[in-house]
Amino acid sequence: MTRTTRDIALGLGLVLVVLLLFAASLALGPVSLRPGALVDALLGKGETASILIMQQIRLPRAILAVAIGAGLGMSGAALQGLLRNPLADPAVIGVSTMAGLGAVLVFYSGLVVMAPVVLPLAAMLGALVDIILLFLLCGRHGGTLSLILAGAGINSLGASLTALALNLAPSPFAVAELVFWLLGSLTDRSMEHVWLAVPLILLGLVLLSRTGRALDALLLGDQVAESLGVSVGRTRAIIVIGTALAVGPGVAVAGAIGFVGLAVPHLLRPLIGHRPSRLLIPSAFGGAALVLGADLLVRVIPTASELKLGVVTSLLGAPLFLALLLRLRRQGEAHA
Amino acid sequence: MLEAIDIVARAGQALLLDEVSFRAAPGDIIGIVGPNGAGKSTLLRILAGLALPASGRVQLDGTTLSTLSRRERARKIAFLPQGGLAESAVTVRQIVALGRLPHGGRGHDAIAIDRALDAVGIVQLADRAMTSLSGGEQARTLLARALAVEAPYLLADEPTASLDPRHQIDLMECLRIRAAAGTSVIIILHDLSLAARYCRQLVLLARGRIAACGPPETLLEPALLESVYGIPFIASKIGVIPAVLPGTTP
Repeated sequence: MTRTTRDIALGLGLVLVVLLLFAASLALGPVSLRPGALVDALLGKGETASILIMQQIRLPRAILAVAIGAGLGMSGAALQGLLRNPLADPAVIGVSTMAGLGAVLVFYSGLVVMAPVVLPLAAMLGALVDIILLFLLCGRHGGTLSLILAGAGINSLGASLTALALNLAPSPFAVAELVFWLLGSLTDRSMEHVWLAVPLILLGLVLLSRTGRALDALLLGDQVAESLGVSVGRTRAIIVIGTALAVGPGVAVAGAIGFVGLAVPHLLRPLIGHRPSRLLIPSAFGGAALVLGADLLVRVIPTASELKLGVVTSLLGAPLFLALLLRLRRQGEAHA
Repeated sequence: MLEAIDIVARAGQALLLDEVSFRAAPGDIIGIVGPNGAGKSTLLRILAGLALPASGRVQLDGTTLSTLSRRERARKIAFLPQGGLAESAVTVRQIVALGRLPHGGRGHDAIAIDRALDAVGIVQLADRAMTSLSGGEQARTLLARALAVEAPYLLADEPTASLDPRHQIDLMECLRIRAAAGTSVIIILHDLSLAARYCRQLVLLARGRIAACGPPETLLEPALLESVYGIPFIASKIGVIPAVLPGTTP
């Protein structure tokens, strides 16, 4: 197979996997519906109960899984390219921690009872604060290293404030609620959550997808990229803002979902190659597939208390990632 | 014509470059030589438009360089920094293809890439991963990337540093062919014999100032070199090839 036909086959394969998992996500639930009834209910025909189940419960859940996974996957690929570091993921710039902190503060203060929308809004505010802090700390001419260091600083600040909130929480129930929320879940999310999060995630994906050429040029370092006409500072800003948009709203409506951003680009590189521009869009699909798959497992695996999505993505992603590392090491030894 | 006019550069209080002026015409190979810390790399970055001088300006074909758009500048000036090996497993061809980014997919990209691969003699490595190459092969790939821009000006910072003698000569021959075709080459070198052999003009920098500037034969005087480098030199010719050798420290 030539390079291009292989790429097309791979692209179609990824799209197909996402579509299948999406359909499975719609089909799966305590109430089993025939495929015909599923489609009817989606389109608003048939029994009222079925329509409600499909349009109000299963569809938002599936859409959020796709959007959140896509945001995590693509921002992971973009950050690994920008920082030229295979260990980079959206967590590096602190956006998940700060969005989590925003949510924790409204839980803690009791503001969460005012209206359901307060929680995601506070989380998004947390993501915004993260971006503002990053730009204040790095300035206009801050380099890659200052971005990593600022991210690390904000991460530990956010984590310690979250720990403080847990420490001072008024009751053990509040602590449990906070911790469970932070583990991530898509259970009982509504179309309001979709409208709140998905447009922003899409905007983030569009921003990130436009950085491919610049990321390719950055393979040879900042100076060569600049000499090739790329504004490295602008690229950095776009990726930071794009990541906040692609990841922050996801944390806001579903809590922290780990490992997707780190693992997906690594899983795809052996198939796609190492050019950062070619990884961006496949990583969005790969992330969507991983989160959809994990969310299916959450529903299929019977456990006493609800299995949390963030736990499952890590449980799924980590062994895959470790297997990949082992395979790469063996290949390395074969070369040497 | 690429012209440095009264370039001054500072880092905080320290003066890195002090009123440096010279010009490079099409077909020139200009060697920038001088001790470590003389300001060579700073000067090259300013000439490439990657850094702005504190005062003075760079003129490119009569236009002030800083007024050009990024892309226009990128098409005119190819820049090859010191070192900078790729840590990623991208292929050689993909790296060389980066040289075509300023052209935005227009023109004859595939031809330019093949030409660049051929010019440095790495056609057979085109599909290999960068991480599987030797240091010398990587250095040649990076040179091919700079050649693939096909810019009228090529600026290179110590491109021979990691190469064995044969590949040093190959690289300089490659640049000579480019210059003969009309490219203006400005190159930082530490090997004075190599600089004398291949450069039409040399710029000798010392502590941010031009200590001397001119054809190699007028410049590579042992007394002048000793005053700049602080050690004695022997300058001679072996056949037609100039040889400039550092002597023992007194």
